[in-house]
Amino acid sequence: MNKNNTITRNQYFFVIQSAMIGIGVISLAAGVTKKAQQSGWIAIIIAGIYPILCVILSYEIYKNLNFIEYTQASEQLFGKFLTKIFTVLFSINFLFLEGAVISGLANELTFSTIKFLSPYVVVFLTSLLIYYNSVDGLKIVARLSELVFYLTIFIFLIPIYFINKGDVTNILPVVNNYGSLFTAIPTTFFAYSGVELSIAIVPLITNKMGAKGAGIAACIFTTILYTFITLVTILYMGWKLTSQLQYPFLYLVATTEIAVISNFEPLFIFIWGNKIFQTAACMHFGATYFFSEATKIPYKKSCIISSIIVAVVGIFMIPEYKRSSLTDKVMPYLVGYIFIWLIAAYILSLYKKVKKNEK
Amino acid sequence: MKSRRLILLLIFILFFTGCYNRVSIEKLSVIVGIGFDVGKDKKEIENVAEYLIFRGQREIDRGVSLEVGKTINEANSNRQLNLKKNYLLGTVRAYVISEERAKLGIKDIIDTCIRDQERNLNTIIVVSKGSCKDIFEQTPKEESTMADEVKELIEASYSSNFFTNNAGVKDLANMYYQEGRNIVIPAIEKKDSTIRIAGIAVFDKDKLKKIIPIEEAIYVNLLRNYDVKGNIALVMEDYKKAVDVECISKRKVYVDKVDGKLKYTIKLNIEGEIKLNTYNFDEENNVQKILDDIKIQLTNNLNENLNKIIERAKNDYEIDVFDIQKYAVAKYGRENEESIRESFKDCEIEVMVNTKISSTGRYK
Repeated sequence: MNKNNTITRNQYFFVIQSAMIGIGVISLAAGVTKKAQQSGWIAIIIAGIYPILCVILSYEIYKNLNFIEYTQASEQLFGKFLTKIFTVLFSINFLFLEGAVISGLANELTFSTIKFLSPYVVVFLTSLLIYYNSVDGLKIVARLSELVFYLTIFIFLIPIYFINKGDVTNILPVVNNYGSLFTAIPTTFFAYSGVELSIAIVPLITNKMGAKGAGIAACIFTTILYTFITLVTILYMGWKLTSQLQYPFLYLVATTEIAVISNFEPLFIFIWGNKIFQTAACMHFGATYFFSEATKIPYKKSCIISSIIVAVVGIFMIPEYKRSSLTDKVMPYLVGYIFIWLIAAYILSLYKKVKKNEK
Repeated sequence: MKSRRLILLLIFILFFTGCYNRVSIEKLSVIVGIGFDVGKDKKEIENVAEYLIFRGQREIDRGVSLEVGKTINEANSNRQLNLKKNYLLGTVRAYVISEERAKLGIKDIIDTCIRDQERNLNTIIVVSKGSCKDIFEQTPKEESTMADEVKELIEASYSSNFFTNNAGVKDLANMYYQEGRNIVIPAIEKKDSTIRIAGIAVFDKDKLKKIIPIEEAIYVNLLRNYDVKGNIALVMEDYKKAVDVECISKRKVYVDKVDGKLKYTIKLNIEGEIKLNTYNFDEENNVQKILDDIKIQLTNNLNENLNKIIERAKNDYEIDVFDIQKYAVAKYGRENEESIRESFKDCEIEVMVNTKISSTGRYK
């Protein structure tokens, strides 16, 4: 086990929440309100089961196998051939997600603050910086996640400004149509994706005691943040306007009236851009890890290759409507795949454990 | 080695910053006010802009330009043919929509104000009786530009006549998109070489329905808004025998269905402070008796006026100006929005005024 690639339990918390919270915060509310109208925030709570299940199952799988690393574990469970396929699929999953996050960042930045740059240049520069961020392994990514978490935590306070400005009639009746809640769940998958990183990094935690708790805490934190932001957005604007905006939370931020600052939006983007960047960096670690496991190319070299792939994927999703339509189509399949993998691996690992005990 | 790599990377990124091919700040003109108007044939759009001209140091002038175009942004780009400087839209202090234009519909204004990322969402938006050019072409008296005067006028109105300070583009968008609500924004007019608030403009969807004159608008505001302030005068005979009460109102709305008809109950909690009392000034100073008397008078006065305005709203305005249908939508489901909207004429509105005198001032 490479020393540079291990993290502590607390860092696990920061990595997991930072892999999830990113571009989703500003665009999540639009998707759920389109499907579930004013009760979209409930759909987010229900969908919060997915990351929690993901974290718990991946911990249990490795616990049953005595915390051996991913490739060994997978080979024990599925055999060599299937492992190869699954690893490639995981790497595609992360490359796609990271490409979507980077193009999302580029779209958002060129839409609001840096109008003088082409989004393609932003994609290129971001992937360059992400390469630099994750080339030295998980430890650096985890440390930076921790730093960025503390730098951006005050964003959490912005919605509080709007609580008494909203009107409670905007979220009533609480649920109009129970069926719509479930159709809204797939739109939240992109915001919750990134939690699959736990499949790669659970064996890399040094102090395993309580690692499960840290993972669950990160998921609950994310769910609360998402729910709170969406609830306040609907409370203030109503679901109709929310569902028609590209970045509802950015709109909400732009309506704040703060003394001295004429427009809070650019400042917010400057700070929140760091968080999105860190999300992409976490995903890049996942992508590179699985890529190098699948192709047996050393980590540092595959970091360059995956950076290039990601930049190409990101360029294909440049206007925002292209990106959102593509992620809406692809996400359910990716989540479905990960779910099936997790359950299959969990059952097999239980079987392995029982067998071992019999011996 | 590592730090050198980082420094090289950062220097490389520095090459991408900067605003090449952008207009420098001294060449920018500042647009402070925009008026949306319509031409005489009602086909073409007139767009009035008030902008600042900087001539050397401390010499600031202002100009007004009127441009014609098929759409808002075409008129805007036509302006660049005349104006010698580039301009930004984020600096606009106030939008003024003329009555004629508002009657034709303001959907495009709402759309461009929200869609265009350069525009600020906190800009004040008002309707003007008469054309926008009349408003902007006057010489400002208290502020340096007319747009600032409009802005200050609307912001200052908050402290009296039960107006709210929610008159920005964002509030307009909220009123437009939320179910069971109608757009109600302040209306201004030209009066003796300056401007004044003329009342409130009520929209049906995106078209202006009516401008309610200020005498009635006060009571509409009182029923409509939460936590607002205003003066109620109780005149017994003439000004020598009168009571002024400064009221802060808080409202609560309950909705019920009685015999298949909607019934709204508006509960107004009014807390008053007596500012003037010549009515029973000379009588013996029994404070409790005076207060009870004033309370009854105030309640009766408000009941009478508010019921009058409700009747008028039902028969004359024919639209929910009191912002109460949103409670019905919230209670009976969003899919019934249309039927709730149409049933305003048949519904029943009850006002319950609950007054409380909190202070009698320096006098007992």
